[in-house]
Amino acid sequence: MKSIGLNSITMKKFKYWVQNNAILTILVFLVILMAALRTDTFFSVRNLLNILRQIAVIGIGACGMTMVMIGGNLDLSIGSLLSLCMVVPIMLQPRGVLFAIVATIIVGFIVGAINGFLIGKLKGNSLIITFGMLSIIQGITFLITGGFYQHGDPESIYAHIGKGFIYKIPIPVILFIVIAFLSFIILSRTVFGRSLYITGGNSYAALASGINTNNIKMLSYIMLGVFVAIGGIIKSSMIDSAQPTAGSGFEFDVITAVVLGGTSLLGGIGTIWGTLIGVILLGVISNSMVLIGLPFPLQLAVKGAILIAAVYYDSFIRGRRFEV
Amino acid sequence: MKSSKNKFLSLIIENRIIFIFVIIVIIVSMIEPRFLHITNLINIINQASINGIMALSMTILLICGYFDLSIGAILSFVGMLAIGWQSTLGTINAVLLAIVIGTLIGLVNGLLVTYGKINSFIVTLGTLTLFKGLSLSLNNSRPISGSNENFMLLGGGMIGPIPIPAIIFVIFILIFLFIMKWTNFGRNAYAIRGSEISAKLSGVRINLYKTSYFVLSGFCASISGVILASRLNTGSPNFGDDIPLLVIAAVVLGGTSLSGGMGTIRGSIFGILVIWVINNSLDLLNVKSYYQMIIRGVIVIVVVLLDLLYENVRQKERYKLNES
Repeated sequence: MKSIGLNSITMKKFKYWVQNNAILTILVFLVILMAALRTDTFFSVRNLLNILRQIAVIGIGACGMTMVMIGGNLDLSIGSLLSLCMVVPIMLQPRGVLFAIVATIIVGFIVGAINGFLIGKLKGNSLIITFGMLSIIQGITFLITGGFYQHGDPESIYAHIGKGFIYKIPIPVILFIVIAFLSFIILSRTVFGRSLYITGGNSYAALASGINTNNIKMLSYIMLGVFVAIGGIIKSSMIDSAQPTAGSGFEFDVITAVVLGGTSLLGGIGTIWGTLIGVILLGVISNSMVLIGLPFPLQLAVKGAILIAAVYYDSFIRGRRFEV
Repeated sequence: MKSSKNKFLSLIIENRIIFIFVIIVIIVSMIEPRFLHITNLINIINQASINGIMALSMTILLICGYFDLSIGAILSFVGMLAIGWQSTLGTINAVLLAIVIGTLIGLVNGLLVTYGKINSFIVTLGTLTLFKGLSLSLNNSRPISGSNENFMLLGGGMIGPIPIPAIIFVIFILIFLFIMKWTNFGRNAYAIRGSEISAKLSGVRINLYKTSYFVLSGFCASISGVILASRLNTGSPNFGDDIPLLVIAAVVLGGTSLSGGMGTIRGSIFGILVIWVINNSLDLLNVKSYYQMIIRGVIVIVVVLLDLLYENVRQKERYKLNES
């Protein structure tokens, strides 16, 4: 009798956990399904590391976007910022690798600071301001490249950032993990992180309790800008080249991953842990479809359907919990 | 005397987008006299018609507190279907069936948002990806060109001196102005956003209305898709890529709040016109397309900041009125 009671409690706990982590359960289910279908290819260490390597750039951007969205704002300009931050290091590479990297991060910092100033200090609408910035950054990228494809030097140390390994782990993955951990600490253990939640949840209450909401929002954009710059460095060194339109669609991928991870579009709610699950889910979906051998257009269609289904399942399960 | 002055001031502030429009027109016509030529003015309306029709339905959706990101994908998909089915179904049947399909996509969006209780941003992001994928797979990622010359009349034909798309746009404007001012259908959008519960208690069938706003959005996107396809006699999967952001930016420029509850059709029309007047005058002045991107972005940001300035002035006026 006692054991049955214990069982029912663990079952309840399990159910509760599933309800709280709907997206994670979908992820686990998908991984098990793929492991059964394509055991030899999918479930190898090489493929799993490959998935992580492919999602590293989106993941790094998503960590920054989580902060901005928790603060109650959006950023549509990161796609064109990614293009710019791929072009700049490739073009500056002949003058020294370190110089190229530092310059790119400064570019990301400046763009983030401008966004943050216009949105945080001057209180512009984040969607329109960053839409304007998207256009400006795109124009600048086209201007400095003349619209041409840029080639890097595959022999230089720079190429190792994207392609190198440390103890058999790809460097992009290590950077991704470090940045995710850093964002986690910032969001949950620092004054800035906690203030960001209050600012996004209730800006007036935050102001009334002595938080400088303008600076908080500005700082969140600067973090995002720097993270996207790091992403641009990684991506350009992975492919040793840069195209002025390489980043288009990046903002959609990132926002999709962040929202899948449970961050509210209205601000105040969200975690890095959730974002990581969203990013990994998208990565696993793309990877599985490649392994199954779907043509690219159908991959897009399936991705869209899965996105809707996943969020529907999530809201369905949450709705039930509130009813009971 | 004083109250009439205040009334005048508040009239200016309420319709600030119109004044921004007038100022831009005055500046442009001083620099480039050709701008004010009647054929150029008709041309601007003609160019604005495709995005303009979608901006009208997007205004209602935004007022009701929802997004539709899928309009770009619907536009390309419908355009491709209308062209692709011409040879088998006949032109008129193909166009009608394509519009029906586009409207059905809107219905799916609406049902998922209202009955599935999923965030509209995610639903329409999902349908965007899904239908972008489907339209890419229709003809192996290549555009389709039409065979019927008569089909081109819709997008390229004239009645007297006025192009047909401009006429369709004006008819849509009149219908939408009527809907928002005189019908329950339009005014319930404000009511639902204001308070869903009180709207429900006073007998508004909120789910029906919300769904039909999405259906309307799908319909308008389909009409625009057919016009665009007929203007170029081509259907391409890539036509709609930048459209959702542009349309939302124009609507918000026209004074509609992103969090809903506020906004007018009149404002959105001028929002769209401001964007196209800027595009047109940059073309007239022979500005290089890279610089055009930068200038467009700067102007969008400046307009938003001007808007904020007005908002501040108005709040100060209110404060003064309360004091006295």
